[in-house]
Amino acid sequence: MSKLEEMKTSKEKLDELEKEFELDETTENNRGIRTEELTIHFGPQHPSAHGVFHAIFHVDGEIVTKIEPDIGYLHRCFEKIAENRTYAQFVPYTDRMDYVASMTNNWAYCLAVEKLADIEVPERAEYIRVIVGELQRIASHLVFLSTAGLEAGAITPFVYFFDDREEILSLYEKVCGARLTYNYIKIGGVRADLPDGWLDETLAFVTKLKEKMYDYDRLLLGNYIFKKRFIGVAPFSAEQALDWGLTGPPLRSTGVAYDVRKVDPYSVYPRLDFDVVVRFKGDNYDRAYIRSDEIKQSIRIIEQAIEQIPEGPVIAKGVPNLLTPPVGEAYGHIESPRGDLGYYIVSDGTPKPYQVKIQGPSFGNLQALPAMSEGTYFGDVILTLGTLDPVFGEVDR
Amino acid sequence: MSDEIILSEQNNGNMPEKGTIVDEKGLGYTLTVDRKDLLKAAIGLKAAGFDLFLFVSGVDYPDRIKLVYRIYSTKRRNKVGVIIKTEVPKSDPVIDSLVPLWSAANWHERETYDLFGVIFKGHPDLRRIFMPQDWIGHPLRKDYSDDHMLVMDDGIKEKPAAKDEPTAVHKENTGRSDKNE
Repeated sequence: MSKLEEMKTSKEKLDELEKEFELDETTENNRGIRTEELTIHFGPQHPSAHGVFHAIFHVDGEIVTKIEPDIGYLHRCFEKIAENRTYAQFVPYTDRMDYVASMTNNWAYCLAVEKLADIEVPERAEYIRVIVGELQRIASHLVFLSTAGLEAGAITPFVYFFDDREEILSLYEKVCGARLTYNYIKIGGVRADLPDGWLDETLAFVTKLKEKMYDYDRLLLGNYIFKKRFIGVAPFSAEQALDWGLTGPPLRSTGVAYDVRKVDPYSVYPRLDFDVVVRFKGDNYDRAYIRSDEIKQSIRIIEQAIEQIPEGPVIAKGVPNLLTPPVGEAYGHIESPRGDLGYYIVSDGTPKPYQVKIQGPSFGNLQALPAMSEGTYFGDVILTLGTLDPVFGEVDR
Repeated sequence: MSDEIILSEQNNGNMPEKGTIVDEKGLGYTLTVDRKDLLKAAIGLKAAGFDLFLFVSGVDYPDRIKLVYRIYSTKRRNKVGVIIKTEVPKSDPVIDSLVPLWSAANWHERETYDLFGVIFKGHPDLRRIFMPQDWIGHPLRKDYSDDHMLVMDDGIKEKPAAKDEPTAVHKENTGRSDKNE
C-alpha cells in the first residue's frame, strides 16, 4: 500500500469515527452536554480530609447527590487495649485519641476514674485543670479557624493563628515537657505543680490574645471571600441537629444551648462566670463564628481562674499507682473543644478496667455530614467537613 | 430531682410498668428495662422530651451483653440525662433498633454490632463500621480470639497448638524452615 492510499483510508476511517460520535438530537436538546452521575473516591489519603477519611461522593455535575462515608482507617482498638492496662497506664493512650486537644482527653478519662474510685481532687488541681483545659480549647479552636480559612483559600490567617497556638504549646512545654501528647492530668490531680511565674505568663498571653481577637475576627470572619464561601452553606435546623446527635459547637450553632460545663457542671466551673455561646442559623459561617466567640469566653474563664486559684497540694493524698477501684460503673463526661466527650468505665474490682466505652464527639458529629451536605457543591463539602472539625484519632479510636 | 418528678412528667401510658428511674452512684439517673420493653421506654422518654441521643455501647459478660444507652433532654426545664440499661443473652443477641426514633443511633448501633455482635432489628444499614466487612468475630467480646489470623512463615494458615503441647508446632516449624534453606 502506498503512502497516499494509506492516508486516504485513514481519512475514511476518521470520517466514520466522526459519524459515529456525531451528536444526535437528544444530546443536542441537552445543550450539547452529555451528563451522567459520577462517583468520586475522596480519601483515605487526602489533604482536606482532616485525617484518614474515605467517602464515596456521587456527583451530578458540581452537585453532590449522595455521600457514603467509610471510616475505620485509624482504628487502633483503644477500648480493647484499656482492658489490658492498669487505670494509670491508660492515661497516655487517651492523648492519642483527639490529638489536637489531648489535655481534655486526659481530663475526661481521669474524671470518670475519679468518680469510679471516689477520689476527691484538691482545689488547686481543679483550677489548674480548668486553666490548661481552656488553653487547650483556645489552641484547638485556633487550629480550626486556621484550617477553615485555608480550605477557603486564605493562607495568611493560618500563619497568625498558628503563631498564637505556638505560644500555648510553649506554655504547655513549661508545665509538662510535651507539646502534643501531654499526659499531664493524672488520676487524683495533675502531675506536677505549675512552675514559678507560669500564671503571670499565661495571663499576659490571654490579655494579648484578647486584643488580637478583634483583628483576627476582621481578618478571617469579616473577609468578603470567606463570607461568600461560608454564609448560608449547609444550614442545619435545631431539630435536625438533635436528631443527628450533634454536640459541641455544631449543635450550639443551631440554637441549642447544650454545654456540659453548664448542664452537668464538673470541676470548679460553677464558680466561674461565662456564657454559653449560641448562634441560630446553623450554617457553615455560624459553625465557624461560634469558635471565635468561644475563644473569648475561654479567655474570660482563664482570667477568673488565675484570680481565684488557691495554694495547696495538686494531687490527692493516698491515691496508689496501682489503683483498684471497687466493683461498679461510672460515667464521666466533659465539654471538649469538639463536644461532649465521655468515658463509661466498668470495674470488676481488679487493677484493670473490665470495659471502657469512649464516646467521642467527632464520631457523633461526623455521621451528620451526609445529611448536612447532600445537595451542596462539591467544593463546599470540604468546608462543611471542616466546620464539623472531626479528628480521626477520636472518630476511629 | 427525684425520679417521681421525671416519671410524672413522662407520658406514662408508654412506659413499661417495672421501669423506675433511680439515681445510681457514678452514673446519674438510670433506667433498667427488659429488652422487649426497650423500644417502649425509648418512645416514652422521647415523648417526655429526651431528644438528644448520645451513645450506645455494650458490656460483655460470660452469658449476656449489657447494653447502655445515654440520652439527654434539651427541652425540659430540669436539664437531665438518663442512662438506659438492658440486657440481651449471648445465645440470641437481638434487640430493637432506635434509629426510627433518633437518626443519631445509626453509627453507634453499627459500632456496637461490629465490636460486640449485637443485632439491631430494624436498623436500615447494619454493617461493620471499623473492621473490614469480611472480619471474623467481634473484637470487644471477652472470648474473642484472632488465632484464625495466624499465618506461619511459609504462608500456610495453621492452627496453633494447644497450650499443653507448645513444642510440637515449634519443632515442625523449625524442620520446615531448615528444608527451605
